[in-house]
Amino acid sequence: MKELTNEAGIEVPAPRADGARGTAGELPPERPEGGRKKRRSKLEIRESRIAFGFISVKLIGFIVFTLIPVAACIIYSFSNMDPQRFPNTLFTYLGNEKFWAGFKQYADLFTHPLYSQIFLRSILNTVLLMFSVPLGMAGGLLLAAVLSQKDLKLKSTFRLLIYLPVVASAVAMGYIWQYLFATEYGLLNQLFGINVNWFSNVHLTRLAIIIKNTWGSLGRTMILYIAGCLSVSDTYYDAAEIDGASRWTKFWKITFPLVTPTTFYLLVMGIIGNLQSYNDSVIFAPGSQGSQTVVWFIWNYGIYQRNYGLAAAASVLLSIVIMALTVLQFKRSNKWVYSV
Amino acid sequence: MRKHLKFISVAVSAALAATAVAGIAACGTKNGGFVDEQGIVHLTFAGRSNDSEEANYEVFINDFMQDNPNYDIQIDWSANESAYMQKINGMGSNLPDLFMLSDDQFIAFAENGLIADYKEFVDMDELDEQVYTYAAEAYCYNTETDLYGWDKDDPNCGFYGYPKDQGPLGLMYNKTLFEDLMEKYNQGKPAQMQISLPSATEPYTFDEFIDVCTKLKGEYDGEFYPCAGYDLDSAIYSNNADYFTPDASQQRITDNNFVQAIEFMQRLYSEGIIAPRGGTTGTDETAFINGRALFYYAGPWKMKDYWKQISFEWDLAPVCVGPAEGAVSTAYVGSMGYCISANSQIKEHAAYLAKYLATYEGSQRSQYRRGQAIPNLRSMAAEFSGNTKGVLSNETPKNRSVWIDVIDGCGQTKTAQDGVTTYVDAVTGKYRPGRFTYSSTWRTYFAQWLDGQGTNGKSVWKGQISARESLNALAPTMQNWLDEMKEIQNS
Repeated sequence: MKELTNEAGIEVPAPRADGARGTAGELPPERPEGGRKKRRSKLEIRESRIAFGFISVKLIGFIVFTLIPVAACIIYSFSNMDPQRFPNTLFTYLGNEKFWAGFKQYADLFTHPLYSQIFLRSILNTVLLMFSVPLGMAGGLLLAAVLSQKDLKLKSTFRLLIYLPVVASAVAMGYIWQYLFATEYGLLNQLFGINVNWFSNVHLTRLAIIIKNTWGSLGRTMILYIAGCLSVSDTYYDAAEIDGASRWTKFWKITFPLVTPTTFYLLVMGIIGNLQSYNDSVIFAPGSQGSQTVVWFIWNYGIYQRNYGLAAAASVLLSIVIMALTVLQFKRSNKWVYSV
Repeated sequence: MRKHLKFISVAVSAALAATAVAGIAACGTKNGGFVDEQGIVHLTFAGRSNDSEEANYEVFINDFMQDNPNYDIQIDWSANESAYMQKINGMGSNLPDLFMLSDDQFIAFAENGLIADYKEFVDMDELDEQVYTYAAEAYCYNTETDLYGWDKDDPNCGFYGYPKDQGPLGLMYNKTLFEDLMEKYNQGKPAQMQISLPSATEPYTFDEFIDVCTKLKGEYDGEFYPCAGYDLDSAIYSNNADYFTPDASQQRITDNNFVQAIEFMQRLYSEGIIAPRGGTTGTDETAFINGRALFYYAGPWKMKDYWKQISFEWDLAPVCVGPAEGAVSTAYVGSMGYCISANSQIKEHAAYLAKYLATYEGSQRSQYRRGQAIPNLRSMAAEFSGNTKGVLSNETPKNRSVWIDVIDGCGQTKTAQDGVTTYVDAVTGKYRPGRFTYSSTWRTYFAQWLDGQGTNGKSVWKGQISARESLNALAPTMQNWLDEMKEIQNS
C-alpha cells in the first residue's frame, strides 16, 4: 500500500478503490445482525430533532417564500395567466387547456410585433447600464488606494463622506439626481450653460444613469477595497521597496493582484444587482426609453398589463441568465483571482 | 439548557409553520362584508387616488355613516393606480364589496363575472335625471353584444357601476404668454389678419391650430416649441375616426379619417410645433408648467396640481377639430366606476353606498372645490362653471365650461337618412379606446408602434415612415389583437 503524506507531512491512508473511506483492501465494517442499520442512540435522535427544529425555521421560509413562488413562476411562464380570467388558485386551472400557452410567452418575448423590440431594448439597456459596475469598482479601488495611505490626513472624514451615499435611500438619491439632471433648473445644465434634456434622448439617459450609479457604488466598493488593501501584508511592500519599485509598480504588481478576491466579489454582486435594476426606470428617469430595464419590462408589460405569463417567462429567462453568468464567473475565477 | 434549546427550536418552528399556514390560508379568506346579529352592515370599500382625495373620501364615508348609523365601512385606499390594480388583481374573485374600477379595466371584470350586475338596486330613470346621460350609462354593458348602453328591455344589459367621475380633456393654453406673443404678432396688422385668444366654444381646426402656433412661434425669442404635447385619441376622435368598429371587432386604423388624424399629429412634429422625439430639447408637461410652451392638454383632475405649480394665467379651449366630414371637437374622456363584487353578500348595501358617493351633493361639490373632478350632477354644472356658490378654491381655468360641454355632449349622436352618424354638439367627448376592449394593453403598443418601437422600427413622429405606411403595416397585427381579445371575451 502506497503511503501518502498530506501538506503537513503526516501519513494518510490511500483512498479505497470503491471510493469508501478506510484503507484499501480492508473490508467495510460489518452490519449488525440481520443487515439492519445500527439503531441510533436516544441522544442522537434528540440531537437530530433539535437540529431539525433549527433548520426547519429556515426550511419553511425557503419552501414558502422561495421554492413555491419559483415553481409557480415556472408554471405561469407556460400559461396565459390573467388574474381576471383565472381569478382562483392555480390548481383550479391545471386541467383547463385555455390556461396553458406552451412556449408562446417565451416566443412572444422575441417575436411579438409590438413588444419584442421593447424587450430586446430592455436587455440592451440592462447590459449597457452595467458599465457602472466596472467604473464603480475602478473608482472605488483608486479611492481605496489613496485613502489607505498611512500618512494621509483626514482620511476617515473622506471615507465617511464617500461612504454616505451607501446608507442613503436609493429612492431619495434617485430624486436628488433627477434634480441635478433636470432640463430647466438642473445643476448640470446650469453649470455648463447648456439646455439639454437628458431624459428625452436614449443615449443621454443611459449616460446619466451610468454616472449616477457609478457615483452611488463608489462608497461600497471603496470600503471593501480598503479592507482588501489593509489585509495585504506589509512584507510584500517592504520587499518591493528594497527592490526600488515605484508607487505605481507596487500598486499594479502587489495591491491589484492581491485584492482580486474583493474584485471578484464586487463583480459577481454588481452584475447580479444590475441585472435586477429597476429603480432608475421608475424614479430617476421614468418614461425614458434609455432607462427601461428587463425588470421594468417584467413589471410594465407583464404584471401591470395583467399578462402574468409573459412576466413569468421573462423572469425565468432573467434568472437563467443571472445563474449562468454567476456560474461562469466562478468557473473563470481560478484564472485571475489570487488567494492571499 | 438542552431542554430549553429543544423547546425554543420547536416553539419557533411551530410558530413559523403556523404563520406560513395562516398566511396561505389568508389567501382564501373573503374580502367582502356581512351583516352581523345586531343588524350592523360591515362593508368593505376600496379605492385609489392621492392623499387629498383619500382625505375627502374619509369625510364622505364618515358623513354616510353618520346618516346611516347601521353601517360600518372599512376603507382600503391605495395611492396610485399601479399599486391599486396590483392589489385588486391579487384578490382574485374575493373582491371588496364596493370598489373603484377604471373604465379601461372594466370589460375584463364584467366578462369574467367578477363584478355584479346590480340593476335591481338602481332606479335608472332617477339616475338619468341626476347625472349626464353618458355618465349614467357609463357602466351599462351587454355581455352578449359587447356593447355599452342601457336598454331596460334587454335582460342581457347589465348595470355594473355608478360613475365615480368623468375625466374629459381640454386644450390648455398659457394665456399670459399667448397674449404677449399675440400682441407682438398683431402689431401693425389689419384686423382680419390678427390673432385672437382661443375660443371656449369654437374649436380650432387642425390647420388653424398649426397656423396659430407657427405664427406665434415666430414671435418668440429663442428656441421654442409652442405645443408641449397633444392627445392622440382626441386628434383621432376629432376627425370622425376610431380605432375599431363600435363592438371592437374590426380594426379601422387604415380608414382615411384615421390616417388623416395621424398625419396631423405628424405635422405637429415635422413643423416644429412639438419638439422632435428623442431630441435633446424635449418639451412636455414640465415645459408648459414652466411657461415654455403655449399649449398642452389637461383634464379636471389636474387642476389641484396646476393651482400649486403654475404661476401664470392659463385657460381652456376645446380640442381641435379635423377636416373630415361630420367631424366635431371630440375630446378623450376617462372614467372610473363604483363596482360591486359578484361574490358580495351585501350587494344591496354596497349599491346604496355607491349611489350615495356618485350622487351625493356634498361629495360632488367637495371634489370639484378641491380641483379633483367635475361634478357628475347636471344640477351642479352651472355652479361649477360660474363658481356661483363661491366654493372653488381657485378660479382657474375660467373656461371650465369646456369640460362640462365635453361631458354634456359626450356620445350623443344623430343618424342622418343616409345612415351617417354624427355628433349633435360642436364640442363633445368620447371614452378612451381601452374601455371598449378586453384589455387596454394594445393602446400602449399602438402608441409605441407609431413611435418606432415596434418591429418595423420606424417612427412616424420622426418622419421615418408615412402615417399610412405605418398604419397599413400595423393593421393585421391590430386585427389579430382584436380577434384574440374577442376570443378571450367570448370563451
